[in-house]
Amino acid sequence: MTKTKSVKLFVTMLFASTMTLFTQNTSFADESSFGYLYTTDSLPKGQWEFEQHQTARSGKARGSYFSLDLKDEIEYGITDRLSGALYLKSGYLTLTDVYNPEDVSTNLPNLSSYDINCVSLEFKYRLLSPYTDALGLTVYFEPEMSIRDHMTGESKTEKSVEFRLIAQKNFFDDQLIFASNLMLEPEWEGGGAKELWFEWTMGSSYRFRENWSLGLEFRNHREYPNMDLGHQEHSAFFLGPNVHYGTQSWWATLTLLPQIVGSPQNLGKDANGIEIADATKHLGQHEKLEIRLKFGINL
Amino acid sequence: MAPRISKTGFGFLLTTSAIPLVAYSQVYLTEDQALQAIFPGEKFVRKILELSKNDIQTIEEKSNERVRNTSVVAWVNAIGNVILVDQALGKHEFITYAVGITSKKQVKNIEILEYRETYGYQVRQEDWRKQFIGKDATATLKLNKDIVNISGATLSSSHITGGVRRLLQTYETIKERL
Repeated sequence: MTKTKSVKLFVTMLFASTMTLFTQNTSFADESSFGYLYTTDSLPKGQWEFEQHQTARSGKARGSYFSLDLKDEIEYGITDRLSGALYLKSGYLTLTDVYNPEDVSTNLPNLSSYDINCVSLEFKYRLLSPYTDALGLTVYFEPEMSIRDHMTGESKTEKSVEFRLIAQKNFFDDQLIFASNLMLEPEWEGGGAKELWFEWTMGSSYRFRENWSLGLEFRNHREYPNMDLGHQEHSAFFLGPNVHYGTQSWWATLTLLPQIVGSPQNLGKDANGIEIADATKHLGQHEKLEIRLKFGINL
Repeated sequence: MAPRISKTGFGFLLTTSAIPLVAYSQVYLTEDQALQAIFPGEKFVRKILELSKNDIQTIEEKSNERVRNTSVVAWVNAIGNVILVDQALGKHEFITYAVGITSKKQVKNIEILEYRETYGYQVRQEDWRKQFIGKDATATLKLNKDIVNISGATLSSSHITGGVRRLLQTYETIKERL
């Protein structure tokens, strides 16, 4: 193992161990009934939370592709309205004979490894509360520094800033939640390339019995190279169910999000001139299915 | 090339992330203890009354709150003091609370019997509960109006406030049968 690898391994283990130590002293958090949407709830002042997201992505037009994206987060309530968080994103990626989505006439190198992808900060500020105002409203800001492309596993230095507007409306004594997020994320890659991500998510969740909620989530993701809104590289629509369990001491949310439709469906021709395409989905920058498990523990 | 970590490291990360989770519940007061906290030294008899459809309609119209439980747990005594025991929705589970109402139809005090939520334990604090003292069925009882919200515990504050408003209307509706 090289010195760099050893240092990265040490940092990862240190982070995981720190999380573990924190969580031995549980009390509890800023929980979400959704896998992909954010709600307007925020951590109360002075509270800490640990959260982990595990997202499995699988299914390309050709070859074998599986990724388990991990996001470990430590969050703190700076005030009752403002929270801040530090993320470590990493992932286990295994792929065999999968085309390069940037140029499908070539294949990505076959791969099976765990890597660190990026670190990021998050700030969330609640403007209106769904419990006391007609509509809950929160703004979200996340600067990020990446060293690896989580889709392809390739080394890539990239900076990005995610902006999110979160709206929430509750009904039936707050048992039924409707939430919607609008996300814009400009990205700057090493070498001068830049890109704009747009994402719209919405969903509902109903608490049907003590501790348990069931819901539905919708997600549309679009990308615009060179931040040119007149040139959309791709768009993919996802829709799926979620289930949430929350208690005083921990919570977990599971979301299944298959891609329903996407474009372009035809990604181009491989080295032999054969088209790589799916009948309904965009399988270049996305996959057929995503499954996300989130859990949180208040510290 | 991005730094790679062995499967051992990956396994370690997952293992350390599988954190021991401790669930616990919190019962602060029994019903008997709540009676003594609100009306010290007084003797009460426990009754359970069933609400009719008309009762429910009246209570819901006057309180603007949904009636979830058609049975009312009431402790009554000879001098006309009453304690109603009820449940309000918390974020995860029900919050059990009691409202003491004097023979003059005013709130003597409220007590939180069971609270199992992650946050919002401030609803048990006397400073917050004493806002309800002296309120009657004519009071507004709205968060951020005549009841101060607890920042960081808004859901619990809101649901308990609505619960007290509903119980005062429940008392007005069924007091002749108590």
